[in-house]
Amino acid sequence: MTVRLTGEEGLEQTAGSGAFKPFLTEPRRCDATISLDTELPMAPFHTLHEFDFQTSARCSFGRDGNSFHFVMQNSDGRSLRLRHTIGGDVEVSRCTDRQMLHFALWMAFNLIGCPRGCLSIHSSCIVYRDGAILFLGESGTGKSTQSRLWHECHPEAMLLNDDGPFLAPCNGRYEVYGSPWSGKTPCYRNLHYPIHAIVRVVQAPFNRITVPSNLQKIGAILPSLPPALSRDHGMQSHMLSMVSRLIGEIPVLQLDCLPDAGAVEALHDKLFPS
Amino acid sequence: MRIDPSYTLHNVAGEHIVLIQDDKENKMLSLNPTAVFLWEQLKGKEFTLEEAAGLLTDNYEVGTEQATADAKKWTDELHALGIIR
Repeated sequence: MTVRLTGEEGLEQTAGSGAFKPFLTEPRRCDATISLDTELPMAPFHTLHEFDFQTSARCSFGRDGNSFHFVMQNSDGRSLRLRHTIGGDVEVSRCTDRQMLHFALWMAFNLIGCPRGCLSIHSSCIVYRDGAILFLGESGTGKSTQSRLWHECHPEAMLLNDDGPFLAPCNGRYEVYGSPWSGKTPCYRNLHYPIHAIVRVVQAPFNRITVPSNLQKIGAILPSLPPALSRDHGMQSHMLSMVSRLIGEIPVLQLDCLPDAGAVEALHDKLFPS
Repeated sequence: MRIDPSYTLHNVAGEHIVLIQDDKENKMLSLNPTAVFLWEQLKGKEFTLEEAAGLLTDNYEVGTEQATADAKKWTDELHALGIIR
């Protein structure tokens, strides 16, 4: 997906940052424009979901007719407003908080991408033998730990993204893309790969691989896609179509595991039997 | 009673599911083929327990007593989840 970013101050804060630089491209036909630094006025909308961003900003996501709205209100009084017209562009109000702007752009990319089957997946992702392995799971289950262990056990295993890579169809099949959103790990690689497996990580006092039922696969993948978007019926349909397709195309496994090398070898043996 | 139109039955990877989302939690309801049949026949309509049971006796090899018990179980469960009102 290619988007055009406009706006001087906002561009300096985003496109000028290390996270975005690897993803800059020559001007070409793009899917949408994200206009930063706009004077977007306050507008009423029907709230679909409210949540906190990094304990510092209250976020509200909602819809009014053909427009999605996203508002962030910081505890120190700074705010950000975003509006996306379905099938069209995104406007973002002027905001001096770099982290809020960074998150708002993540929201903008997901809003533009969702109807195109392109969404962020909350995961840590490594590349090994020309394909990717995505580790999913709730916060604190050890997704990043599994990525780190893979690199320790197999030095050729490379981290693609540690928090929010994107999934998108490429030549008829889903692939995973590096992104400017990688959590606390500054790993911003403009690369994409086919996917060996999507692996749900569950902490356990042992290492074991199982193949979940389709219902369990849905329960693993769906909560890893942007939760706010699933509150809208139209977006929810796009997301569920995507989940259906992912389950049809890509092996989904559950890894009950300890944070040790045995977990790496159990998964390695399953994916690459000798 | 009727199925709340804000809920949608989805076919995801061959599973028939309804997403139930509120402020506190997200839940996923999985429907078996009979429950899917009742949903498809009754969505968008006002209906009674007898009408739901009648759909079962008309389409499945089941007696009135069993059909009524099955239909009641279906409506009770969906009612408890706030899907049937």
